[in-house]
Amino acid sequence: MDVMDAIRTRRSIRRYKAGEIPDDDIIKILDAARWAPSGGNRQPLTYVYVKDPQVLRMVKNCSPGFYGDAYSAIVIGAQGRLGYIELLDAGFAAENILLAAHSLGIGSCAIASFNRDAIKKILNAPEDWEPILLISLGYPDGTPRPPPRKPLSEVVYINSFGNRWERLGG
Amino acid sequence: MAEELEERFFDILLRTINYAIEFSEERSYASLRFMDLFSSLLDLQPIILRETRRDEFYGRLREKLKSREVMESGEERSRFQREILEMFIDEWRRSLPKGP
Repeated sequence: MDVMDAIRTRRSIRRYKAGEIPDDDIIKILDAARWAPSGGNRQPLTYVYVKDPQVLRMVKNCSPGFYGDAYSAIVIGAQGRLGYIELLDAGFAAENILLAAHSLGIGSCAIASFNRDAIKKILNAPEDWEPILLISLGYPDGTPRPPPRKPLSEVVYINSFGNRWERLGG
Repeated sequence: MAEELEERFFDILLRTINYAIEFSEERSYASLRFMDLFSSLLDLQPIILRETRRDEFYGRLREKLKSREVMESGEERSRFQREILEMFIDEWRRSLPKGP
């Protein structure tokens, strides 16, 4: 799948159908995360892949933003103090995960609403490791309609803030 | 069927305490309302789920909730909610099949 197609057609999936995701596909997805940009190439992120149904169930129970019967989830986290770089890196890695999953026909949804302390305890994570973002994974049960997006002319300026770019119309 | 009800009840209670925690930073009463819902659900347990291997756990939760009414500060309530959540995770871990 072409990158621009993947970007345009990816949707946040909150309804999944049953189906096992091959480990090989998950490894490709995690490798895409590994290749995401990292500030100063510090690579502070670590990932916990959760596929055990018992553990996944508890992760879901402690994540109010987790919808749907996902097959598995990836927890993105980092050790030590979470600063701007760690959060940006997590965003870069998350987008790679979402796009890589979509290119393989796997649905996903980024989840920021979860109980950090509970997730740490469920995953037996060290005290100084902080989960930043969860991503649910599974085969989509339908394709959500594209959500409305603001037109480019409303969000892009040229050369100085507030200066409209005529090429964009609007 | 009974086992499914047992697991679903556990999940719903656990989700409810997480909703209460999610709203604990807000100035509204949402967190308190979810605690009320949590407490009401827990009170239903002996009626709808009489035979459960978690009877002792739910009993401990009910005992714990008795101390809820005397809390005044938000910080105290937040700590109390986290303690309840930890009880759930410990109970879940205790009930996992032991590995080889």
